[in-house]
Amino acid sequence: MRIAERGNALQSMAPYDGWARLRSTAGELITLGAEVRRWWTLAWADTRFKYRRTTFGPFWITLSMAATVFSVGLVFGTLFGSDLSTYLPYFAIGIIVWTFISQCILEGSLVYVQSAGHIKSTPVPLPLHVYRLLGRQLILLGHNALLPIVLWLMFQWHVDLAALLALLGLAIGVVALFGAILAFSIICTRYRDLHQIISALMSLLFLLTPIIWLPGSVRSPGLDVVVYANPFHYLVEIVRQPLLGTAPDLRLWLTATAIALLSLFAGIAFHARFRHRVVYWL
Amino acid sequence: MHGLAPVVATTRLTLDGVGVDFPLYQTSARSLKRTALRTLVGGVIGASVDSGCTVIQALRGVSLDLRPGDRVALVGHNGAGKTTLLRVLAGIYQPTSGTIDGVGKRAPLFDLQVGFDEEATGYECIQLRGLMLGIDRSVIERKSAEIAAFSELGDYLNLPVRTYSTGMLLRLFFSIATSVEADIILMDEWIGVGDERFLEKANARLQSLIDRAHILVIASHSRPLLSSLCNRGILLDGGRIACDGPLDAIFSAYSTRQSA
Repeated sequence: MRIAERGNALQSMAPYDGWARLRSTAGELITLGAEVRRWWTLAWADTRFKYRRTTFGPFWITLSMAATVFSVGLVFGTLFGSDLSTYLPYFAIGIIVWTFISQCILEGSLVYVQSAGHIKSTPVPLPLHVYRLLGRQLILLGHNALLPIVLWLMFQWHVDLAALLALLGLAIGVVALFGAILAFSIICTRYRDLHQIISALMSLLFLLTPIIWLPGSVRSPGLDVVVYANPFHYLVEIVRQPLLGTAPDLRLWLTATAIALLSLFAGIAFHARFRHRVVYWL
Repeated sequence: MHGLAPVVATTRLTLDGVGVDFPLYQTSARSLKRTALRTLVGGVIGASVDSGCTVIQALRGVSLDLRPGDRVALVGHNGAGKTTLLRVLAGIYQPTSGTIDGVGKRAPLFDLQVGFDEEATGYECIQLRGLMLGIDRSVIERKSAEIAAFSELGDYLNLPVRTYSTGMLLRLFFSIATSVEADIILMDEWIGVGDERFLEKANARLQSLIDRAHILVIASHSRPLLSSLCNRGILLDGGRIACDGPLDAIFSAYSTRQSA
């Protein structure tokens, strides 16, 4: 009996261009994405191995996030004179979503560099590494998501079924990040300085995005551009608002969806154009 | 896919005018700064970003046609392009010029130790390797037992591989890599593992894997090995095919070049 191994099937590699290339790339991304078990198991394994020799295992993720939320949350909440029962949940959800976003982008930009050994020895489709990374980040997010639940038990703010919209918000965010990783991973493999620039930018953006502070606190009309021109603001807001009991308005949804589609298209186009060069740049 | 078709007749691998150029970015040339500065000082915009960097032509105009029954020995100096050619054949490098085309499942048997987490147990290594390659879960389960039996690692397979000795690690990786069925086998040097007894067993397993495959391409410097395995030789020199033909002719051509 012959064993069919996907991903190692030999196909014609004659050059082809434009839309055909874009379509075949998108097709490959969909096929690989549908093999959820393949990359999800790899992602779980990565997470388990990382914490294997610790007592708390992956719950260290939750514990260290809890430490940040309570220490930074208490300090800034008190500093701003906010009511802690509303500030702590706001800050916790914001920073958890932000951590997810920034880790996806920071680790995503290095994903091929760090899988260099694999890429140079095994003919495995590149996006598998991207899906694996995304899976890993979703697992981290899942561990961190325990924290808002604990906070809700403490403060019991009003939430209703609309909180489920947060899942839709997260899905939009994942699409946006997937596109961003597809593009950044390639650019950062070619230009090694870029990762440093991006990590500097991300810490800057953390301060400029309403996570520690509230979006409403920017009152000067010129300055609110840091809120409204910041794509990360929308990605955070469509997850945070439903969980805090307010349904995001249509403008937020539309902007976030536009960001996600733009990012996805750019990522696929980039990937289609340069994926075969990646191995040469490693 | 083609369970009933006579696969023997269809396996092939054809390279037509294949060239592989490696851009060599030194730390400075690789950086954005260079590119940005070049643009700022009025360098030719639209010229390739890669312009100005050293290019290593690892392969140039390589054309070859591999058919079922071919047992190909790749010979040549260090840096002649043997490993690069193997990686092109494996589908790892997409040629920068020319085309590669073919039918058949390929098994690259090199860099066996790459990509394993040292915290993973032996069994997990088997499973993860299978997932990486996209092999079905049921097949992985079945292979898992077979690999365990062949590697003779017993209960060690339940321990993290960081606790293994070098020899045990190699045995595991060898057993995993050789558990595949493939039409085209690609090797960079023979892989021998284990103590005297295991080595014999491993050689037999590798030999039978090769016997079942339709095409073998192996790079090696050992003439006795190549003579025993191959029926065709390809001499690479500076990234080009210098000779392609019967093994004896290739060896004598190689010797002439070395003494010249």
